[in-house]
Amino acid sequence: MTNLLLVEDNLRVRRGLRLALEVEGFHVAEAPDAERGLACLAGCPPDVILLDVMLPDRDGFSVCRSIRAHSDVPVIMVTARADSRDVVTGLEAGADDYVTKPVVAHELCARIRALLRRVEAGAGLEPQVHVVKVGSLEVQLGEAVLLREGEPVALTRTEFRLLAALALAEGGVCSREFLLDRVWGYGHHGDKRLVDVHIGRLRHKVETDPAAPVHVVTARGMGYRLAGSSSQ
Amino acid sequence: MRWRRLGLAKRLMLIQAFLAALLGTTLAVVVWVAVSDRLVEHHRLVAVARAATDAQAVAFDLSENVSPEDAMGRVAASPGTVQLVLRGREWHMSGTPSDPEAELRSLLTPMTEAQELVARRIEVDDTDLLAVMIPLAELDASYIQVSSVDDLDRRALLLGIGLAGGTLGLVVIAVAMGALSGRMALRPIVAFSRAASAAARGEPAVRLEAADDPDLAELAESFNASAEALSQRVIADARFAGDVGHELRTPITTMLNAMFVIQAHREVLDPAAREALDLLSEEIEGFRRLVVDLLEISQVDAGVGLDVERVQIGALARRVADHVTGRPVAHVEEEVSVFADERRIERVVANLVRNAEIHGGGCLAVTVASAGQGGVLITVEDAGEGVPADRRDRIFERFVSEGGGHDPGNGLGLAIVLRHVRAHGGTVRVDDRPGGGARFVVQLPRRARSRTIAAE
Repeated sequence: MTNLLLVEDNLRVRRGLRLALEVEGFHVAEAPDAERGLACLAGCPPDVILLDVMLPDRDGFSVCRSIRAHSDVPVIMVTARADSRDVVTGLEAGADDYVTKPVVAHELCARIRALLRRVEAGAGLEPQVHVVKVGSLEVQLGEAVLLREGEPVALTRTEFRLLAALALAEGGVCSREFLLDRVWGYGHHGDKRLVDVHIGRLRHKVETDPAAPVHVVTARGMGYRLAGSSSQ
Repeated sequence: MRWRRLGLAKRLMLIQAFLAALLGTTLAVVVWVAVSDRLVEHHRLVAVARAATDAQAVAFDLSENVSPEDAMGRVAASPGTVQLVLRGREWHMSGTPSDPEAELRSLLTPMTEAQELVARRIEVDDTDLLAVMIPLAELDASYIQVSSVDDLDRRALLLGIGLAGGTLGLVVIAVAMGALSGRMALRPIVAFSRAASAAARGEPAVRLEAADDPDLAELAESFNASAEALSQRVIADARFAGDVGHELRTPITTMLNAMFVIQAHREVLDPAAREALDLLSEEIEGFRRLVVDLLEISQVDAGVGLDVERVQIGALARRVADHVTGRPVAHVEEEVSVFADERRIERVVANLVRNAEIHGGGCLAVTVASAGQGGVLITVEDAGEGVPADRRDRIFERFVSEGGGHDPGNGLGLAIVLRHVRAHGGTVRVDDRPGGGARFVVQLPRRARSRTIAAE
């Protein structure tokens, strides 16, 4: 059973969401503020965290950064508005996805399931493709491990799935819509900022100079691609 | 009436031209009178001095018994000058014929009766002449020089042309100055009218620049004060709608999720309770849409900036319109890509199509066409009764629902359309579809003029 941690200060909202998510088959732990949320995290690590931006003791962004300091557990940020800076700030703080209020259980379900999907080999690809090498990077698809000059690099699950989607394209350009669908399970209606911010985070981990990327490069007006990859 | 209709700038120009013409003419007349008198006087003095000198020479010759003709011949008279001598009752004249005509004689005879120098303008055969008579008393004779005033007339003519030209030049300069000063005087008014119409379009950040001119500073100040008050009201209004939305979002979240749990257990309810549950469920869903729309409106009104990128409008319209209607309604004449906020344009198309489906008897077509430099045109046509001309502006206001239809909507869909389109610097209007029904036309510029207003 999938364990969720719900960090939300409003009692009735929290209970309503818990009941609805339980109907969907999740096990939900509740925390009314950041302090108790982080304590829960230390106790029994959940599979996904739902984190409200506005908490009584700390703001959600700093909580997200605290979580990222020692965990790659998927975080879904609950923001007030889709247009606001909250979304980009939340994603840059390390959130994997976001939903806007009012939050409904079945919408959350789709997001949670997308984040928990395992890396699958791309359709039409030889099943023996397990390792993609890009310069000094080595993407081990089966093990969900990235080696950089032989050393493992800590990626979140979403970052790894993004990298894997690019790697499986074998150097071809992936549009942002394609990546949204592949990594987050959105059709055409996803927020492209998800891709852009995650690409930025990925570059910080795999590029020597994130401002001048040589591996994860932008195909202007088209999307992104992994430069110089070769599969084995 | 006609004068009033001329406009301030033209009136200023005409007043200046009229004043310049008046002043120029007066000056010209004064100069003309003064100078032409001096010219005549000068000419007369020169003629008299010359005649006096010549008379002395002739008198000397006559006293030496030289004939008058020869005496006159010795004088080097200037060309065009005729000399006459009257001795006793006998006339002698230089040149040919040596006998003066009767007309000239009759004109000159009265002059010779005087005992002293006489200079007089005479007219012979329509020609102006100056006659100077000097009595030669010892010889009982009179010496007369008749000279032409052609030279004088020519100079007067030149003077006249000069003065007229000057006056005309003055009028031309005055017209130019009038036009310039009219434009300068109108410049703040033009700025004012631009600012006022921007404010009327609902741009809250419009202000007039503080003018150095004390006459204009007051106008600018009072305009800015009104604009400030208006924008405060708009902000307060937007904030109120936003606050209401924010406050309602929390209970809505609880209601939606609680409803979801009950729906999951609907099989344990009896039929009446199930029907009541469905009613409640529909109302809560409508309530959710209202809150989401209200929040969206308040965000635009609060001036949240656009997230601009290159968007292919044809593909967007096809995707959104076909998704909303569930059938192929999009017709893309030509793919047009513009710089816009994709999410907001999706909302615009979705809301217009939904509006056509609910209120317009079904969406007939969504057309995307290039408007050249004007950007792109998105047209949404429906099969309804159309929108009466007097309601065409009103339907874009908040909570003005068109009524009709099974699901009346919440009255915010078109208000959101208007706000998003305006935020892009575009326009939206509604008119009649040829063949009946309404036609909504959205025009978006090639590049959204992002008027991001700092708010909150």
